[in-house]
Amino acid sequence: MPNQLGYCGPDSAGELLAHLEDSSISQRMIRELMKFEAAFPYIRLIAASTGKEPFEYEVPEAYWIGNPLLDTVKTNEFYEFSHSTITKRERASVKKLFQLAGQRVVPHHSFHVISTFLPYISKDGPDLQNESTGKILQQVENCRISWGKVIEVRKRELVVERVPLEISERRFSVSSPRPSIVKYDPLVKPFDVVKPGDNVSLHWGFACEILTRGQLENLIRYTLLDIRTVNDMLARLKR
Amino acid sequence: MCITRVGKVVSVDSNKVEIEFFDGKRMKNVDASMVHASKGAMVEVFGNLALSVLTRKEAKRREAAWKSITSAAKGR
Repeated sequence: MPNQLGYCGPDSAGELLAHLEDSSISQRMIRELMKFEAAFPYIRLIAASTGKEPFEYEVPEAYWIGNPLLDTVKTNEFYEFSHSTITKRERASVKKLFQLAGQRVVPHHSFHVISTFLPYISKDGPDLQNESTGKILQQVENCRISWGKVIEVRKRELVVERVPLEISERRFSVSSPRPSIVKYDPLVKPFDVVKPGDNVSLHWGFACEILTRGQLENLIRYTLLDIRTVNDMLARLKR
Repeated sequence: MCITRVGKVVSVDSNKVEIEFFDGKRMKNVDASMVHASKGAMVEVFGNLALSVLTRKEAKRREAAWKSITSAAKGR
């Protein structure tokens, strides 16, 4: 559910959920969606860069799941956008980040999440004990958009086989699938007909949508790209 | 999704703290076990995890960055 946990966006989670449950849209809903401080600037960037409107389906889909629109956002546009929307004193950090990332960085949600923790995972970062690394990994795992195959459908829960990430030797990697229990809202279509074998996207322990085969492939493809980019950045930081 | 935010610790209960952010919003049950922050400290928070304790100067700098990002989100 959008901002149910209060980590980003306006305090209108219930209202947004009601719109999702009855598949309706309103100008107020659009205004509320524009208040998501982290997500909406990225969506505006992708829209501006590709000549689309921010809430054309492909645009938030590109940011959230990933799709080929991301490939058409030029890295220098991403850099200029990031550089121009922050204060002068933060610009050196942005410049360094993009220098480390090279040409492969895309404005994808999971890149935002995973790269947030660079200062803590890098060799120059704090000496994290295993427990702290686990806590950071938990934040990454909850917040990044992950995917899971539905094994069992319960009243308001799904048992899914989910592919987790690991942090080992200050690098991110993909681990083997394991079962996980997540929540879902059966009133939000098409979750009224969710069934074993479906693939769903996951965010903070909540199943957000049933993925098509193409969306699943895109989500995996861009997540792996994000991981490679962040690992390259970490490797460069070690030098 | 989440964004890293800066706020002040307004109460402490073992490793859990309550944070007040610059915009006045509050968040309870933030895990502060990585930072061991005391009441009044400025901390950086992602999701429900406090990542680091900041100096007042650094916190003000982050506040300015936060304001510029939220302004950008609103298209100003």
